[in-house]
Amino acid sequence: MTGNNGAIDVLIAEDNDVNQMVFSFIMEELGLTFEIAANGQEAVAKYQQFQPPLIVMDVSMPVMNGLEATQKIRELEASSGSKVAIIAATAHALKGDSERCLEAGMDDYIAKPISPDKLKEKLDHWRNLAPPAVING
Amino acid sequence: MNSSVEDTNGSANPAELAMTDSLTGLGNRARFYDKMERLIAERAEDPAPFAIGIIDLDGFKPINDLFGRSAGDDILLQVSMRLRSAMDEQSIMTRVGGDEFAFLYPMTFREEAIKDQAKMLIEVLSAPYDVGERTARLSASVGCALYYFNDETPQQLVSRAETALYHAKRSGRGRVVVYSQEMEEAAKRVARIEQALRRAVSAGEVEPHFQPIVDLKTRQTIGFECLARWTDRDLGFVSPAVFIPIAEERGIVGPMSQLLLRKATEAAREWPEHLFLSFNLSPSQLVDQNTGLHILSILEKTGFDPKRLEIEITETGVMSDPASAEKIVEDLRRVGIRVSLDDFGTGQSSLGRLRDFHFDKLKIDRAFVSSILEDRPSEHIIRAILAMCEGLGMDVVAEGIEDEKQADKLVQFGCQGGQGFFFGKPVDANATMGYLRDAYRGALHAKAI
Repeated sequence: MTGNNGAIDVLIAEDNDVNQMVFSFIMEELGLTFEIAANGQEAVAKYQQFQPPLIVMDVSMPVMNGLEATQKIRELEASSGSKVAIIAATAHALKGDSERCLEAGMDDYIAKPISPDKLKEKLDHWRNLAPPAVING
Repeated sequence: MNSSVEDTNGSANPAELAMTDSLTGLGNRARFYDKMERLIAERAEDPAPFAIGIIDLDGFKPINDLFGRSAGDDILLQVSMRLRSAMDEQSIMTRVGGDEFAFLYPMTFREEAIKDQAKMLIEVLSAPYDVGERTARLSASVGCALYYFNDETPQQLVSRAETALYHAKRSGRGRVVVYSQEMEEAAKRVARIEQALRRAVSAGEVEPHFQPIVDLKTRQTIGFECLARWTDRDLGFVSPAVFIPIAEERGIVGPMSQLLLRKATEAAREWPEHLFLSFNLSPSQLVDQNTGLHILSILEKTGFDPKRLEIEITETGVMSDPASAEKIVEDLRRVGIRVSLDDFGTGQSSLGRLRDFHFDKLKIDRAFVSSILEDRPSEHIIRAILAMCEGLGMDVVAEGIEDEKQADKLVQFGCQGGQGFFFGKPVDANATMGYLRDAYRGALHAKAI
């Protein structure tokens, strides 16, 4: 593991160009540092690289989807003992997607299209709950 | 993504034509909805926000009336060209009504961003327009809404933008308002009041209250102004400052006014015969040529002498359609109803209007009366108004008199009539009868001594 602990506030996993822009605009407006991963595999890699306290994860992404990426991250956590909050971003929150997200080990979900207010609310909530960085050896 | 500039000359595709505005070549309402639906469908798998807005030209109708229809069309063309060139490749501009345009920005995600973009459009539209040898100016109001909810339909989105537009127009010209949840709440509140008011009007539950108007010198009551009061069974007391504008906007003011006039004249019939009843007409009633007929038929039914009735109108009321207002005023005066100009001195007071219209009376706005003791300008203005009224043969009533000193000062300047809390607050018909009985007894008592 790299020692980049706390280098960014949020990791965004999102494959869609338009929504990458949406997230970027909102993050900049909120004054948060962030990285964008374009698929699940990249998300896992950037999680390991940046050790963010919070991840916003799109559910449907190419290569590796958000559910798989979450499971992978949770496995990695089992050996490290840390815990990152993962918010699912889903287009189908009403159609049972939210349950699948929680089952896959995600902590919360937010419906798309993403509005700045909704996202800010979720980020505030989870950033306040985020445990202090775990010092591991 | 399609560009905002639609090719209307080349391929005369019927489907394409059906979505094109023939005057401006912009897309029409159908195109606007089509674009929204497409964008939502395109992004169905991964929904992202986008922004729409409706532009309404302020003051286009008067320009159309003044310069003529073809000049109006010409201005609409100029407006379209300006709007079109202000759009980027992804966004679209459509004409959705006579002087209404709607736009869609697929890549605008935040409230602040759409506000800035809409402000830019307003600025583009505010530059002068050429109309033959002359120039005209227009301003515009914009209501915007952002697509944030997955299950939202284009219709819902448009209705949100319309709600925002309504707020923009209400707050003045040249404003941008972005829809918010609070507006929904406010709109619901207005809808609740509207519904309750409709019921109350048909059940005859809006009541006339009466405020005395006195002869300032003798302090004797010479008449009463009728004011609408409403206590709803569910909502409780609703301020006239709240329900009258709603009645005006939602077309309830006509029936409400008829109810009030009927009740007021029934009450006033019982008053001593030398007392007049003063009754307010709203701006929308002054553009309705049936207003005069309604008034006369009510007077006939209740048997109230038209010569004892005074109609109060405001300058704002006259302004929206002076010709129509003038005709109504003439009709009323022909049967002996007196007409007074209310709230004089604060609106767009035009002396020309005093020449064109024949007012029997003028009511000086409370703003001057309340500062008559403190500042010289108010004093001079009141004296000038009084001199003018004397010259034109109009009676005068000063509104909003709150204490004896103000009343004395007005007498000193030669003002005949007065009204205000100092002489009496508006009270209902029964209390008004009580007031008159006391005044009558007082007068008898005074004689006996």
